[in-house]
Amino acid sequence: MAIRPTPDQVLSLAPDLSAAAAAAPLAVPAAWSAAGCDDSAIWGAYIAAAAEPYNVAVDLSDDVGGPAYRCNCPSRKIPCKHALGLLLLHANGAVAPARRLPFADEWLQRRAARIRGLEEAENAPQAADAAASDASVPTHDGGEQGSAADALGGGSRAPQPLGGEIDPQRQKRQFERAQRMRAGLQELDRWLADRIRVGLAASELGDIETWDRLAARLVDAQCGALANRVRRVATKVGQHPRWHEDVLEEMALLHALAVGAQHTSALVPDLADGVHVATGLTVAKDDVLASVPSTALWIVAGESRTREDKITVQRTWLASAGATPVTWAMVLAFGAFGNEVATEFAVGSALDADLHWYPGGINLRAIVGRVNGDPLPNTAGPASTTIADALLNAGWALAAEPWVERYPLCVMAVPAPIGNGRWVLTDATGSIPIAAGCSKMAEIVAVSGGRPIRLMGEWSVDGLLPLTLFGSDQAIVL
Amino acid sequence: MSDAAEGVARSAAEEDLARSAAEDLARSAAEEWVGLVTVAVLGTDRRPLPVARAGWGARSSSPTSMADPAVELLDRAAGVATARRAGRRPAPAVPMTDPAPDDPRPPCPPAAANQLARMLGGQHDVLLPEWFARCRLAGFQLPHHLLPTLLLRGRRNPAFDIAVRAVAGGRAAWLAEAMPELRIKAAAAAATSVAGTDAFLPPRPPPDSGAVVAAIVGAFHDRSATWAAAAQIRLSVAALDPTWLPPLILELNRAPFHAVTERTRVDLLGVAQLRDEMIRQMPPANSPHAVP
Repeated sequence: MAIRPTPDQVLSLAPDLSAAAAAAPLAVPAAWSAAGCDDSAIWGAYIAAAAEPYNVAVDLSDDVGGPAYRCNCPSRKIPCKHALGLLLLHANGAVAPARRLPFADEWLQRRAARIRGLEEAENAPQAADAAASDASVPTHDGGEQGSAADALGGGSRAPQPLGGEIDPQRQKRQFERAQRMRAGLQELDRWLADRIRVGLAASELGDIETWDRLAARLVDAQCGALANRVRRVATKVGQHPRWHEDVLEEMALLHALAVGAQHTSALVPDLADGVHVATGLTVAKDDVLASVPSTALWIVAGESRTREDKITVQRTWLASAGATPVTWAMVLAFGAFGNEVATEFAVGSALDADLHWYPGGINLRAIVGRVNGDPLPNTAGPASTTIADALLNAGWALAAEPWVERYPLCVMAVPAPIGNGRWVLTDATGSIPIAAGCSKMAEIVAVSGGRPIRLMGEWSVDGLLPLTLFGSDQAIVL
Repeated sequence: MSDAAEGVARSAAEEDLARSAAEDLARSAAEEWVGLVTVAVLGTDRRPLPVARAGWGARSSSPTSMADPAVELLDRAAGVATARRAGRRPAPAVPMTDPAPDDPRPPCPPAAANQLARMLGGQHDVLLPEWFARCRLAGFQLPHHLLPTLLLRGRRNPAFDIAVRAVAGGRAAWLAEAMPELRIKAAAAAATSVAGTDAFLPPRPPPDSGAVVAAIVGAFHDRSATWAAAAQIRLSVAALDPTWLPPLILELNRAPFHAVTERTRVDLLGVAQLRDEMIRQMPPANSPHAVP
């Protein structure tokens, strides 16, 4: 018979600190329906978040080397916060003995049967990689994307289910997708090494065809994000006399992504998630919405748009109001070629909302979940920092995820000319260049009048792209 | 030396140490980077890859291609590139130019600025002269962020340029000095100043605005308010005595629908509503037409 764990023991099962922190608020009886336990298992339906309750069960029988978890939430963390929350509830003595719920009974029966026949199960081809590491791998219904990620990275993080619970056709599709991505990543890496072998000065690098072919191959390999990245690198060739440095930087980061994506099991989980997102493994929206939200008053601080291979990408930058340092979030929206992206949030307003973060090494990309009430006008903008501090913040983010292409900042600074039509933004701590592509320099100078202004923009290797000016009583979209 | 003073001295020394360590790191990163770029430009087939400087070596990313200098270069470049990106510091502060002269006038209200922006974008720009006349009377500054657009537009239209400069204040001149592309030939503006002055004044109200409103409404009933006639009617809406705007808006909303007049109706409704809003934003101290 299993001994009831203490809360500390439960938290020690968490895969990371954030999961542990997320689990604590879930350990309240009101969040659960039909929670019950017996000698070897606990189960319950988590009803506080989604329309569909999550069926959670934990197998506590310790004869197979530690607890096993089942939850039909989309999280890829094992155990997920729901399982941890249920365990915490149990640890607090708030789960009463009861008859097993049908789903829990079915799962526990199947599990028991499977443990007996584990040797056979291990021979399943697609599970071999994943299940080999630990015979007592917990069962977890992952999303299709998640499992593709695992197969791709050699996945000891979120192991494949032991079989039977996922339809074999789907598993085959995941496996094939992972194989395609792996092939694409290997080809990208070979291509990069070939370019370095012959040298960046070789003429074919200046030929857009060279890059387009690679991008097309990456699209075929379902690494869409990398394909777009490759196309962006192509535009840097020959842009200015020192373009070799820019291109080598980008190629080295592509190399790091290609190598990292093939070995995600060797990376810390957050970094692995970031690599997955950067290589084009799309994360299902529902997975993100199932994460713990950050609720705050979010200022809609700026908006930028770029065209990426027939698709318009709109970035909306949200900044937490009030507290310093400011927490930034990027909400993406896409419009198919020719269609404008509908502006969901107006710059110069603020909304009280739940933000759900995409997985990754840094919290940046997010989805807006529940919005409480109507947007409020906000023309003051987010709290500004000095230029030095803004770069320091961006630096921490880039150290965690060097492939991040844009990082937001809001500074109080003066635009100043440095000759040749180029401008910088300067304050007492230093100056940063304004990107050559900024077409609204005159507006910025006019509003500033040579005095400090609050300016929000995107910081990238090309410099700062100003997006919004926060005047005395008006947010000016550039 | 007191303990506190000693503490300060020690932390200052530590700070110096940290700064010089950071400088050393930055220097070695720069040296390592130059070496990698040089080899990358020429190609590892032609140039041997120098040994990594202390701290910049990379664990090989792939055990099978251990011997490939191209892969080693990419591995090492990824590390240095990350350090370069994350470690980017601001350039030294730039001396600032003299700021624009102070303007004692109150700033333009955001709603009025938005109306101007809409008109500059081509929407109901028949009302532009009145906007400037009202802005001048109300004693507002021009919206700063629209100054560049206004100055550029004035380059093609001297009368407009004069109207802008009448309310622009010192900031427009300052801006033209700061942004060479906004510098407008003063001679061109001066040459037309006499001839063009009254070209950019709002139209005078007709003697009987009520009759004009009735005529407009009639034009919708007999379907003569086609798109071809819209320009003419638009001018009369821009000239109406402001007290007649609300009745006109009411009548336009009630006008019978017909395919040939619908476009005109929507357009006129837009003009009338924008004008009505504008008058509420910048109420006349006295009639705008009293301006010399």
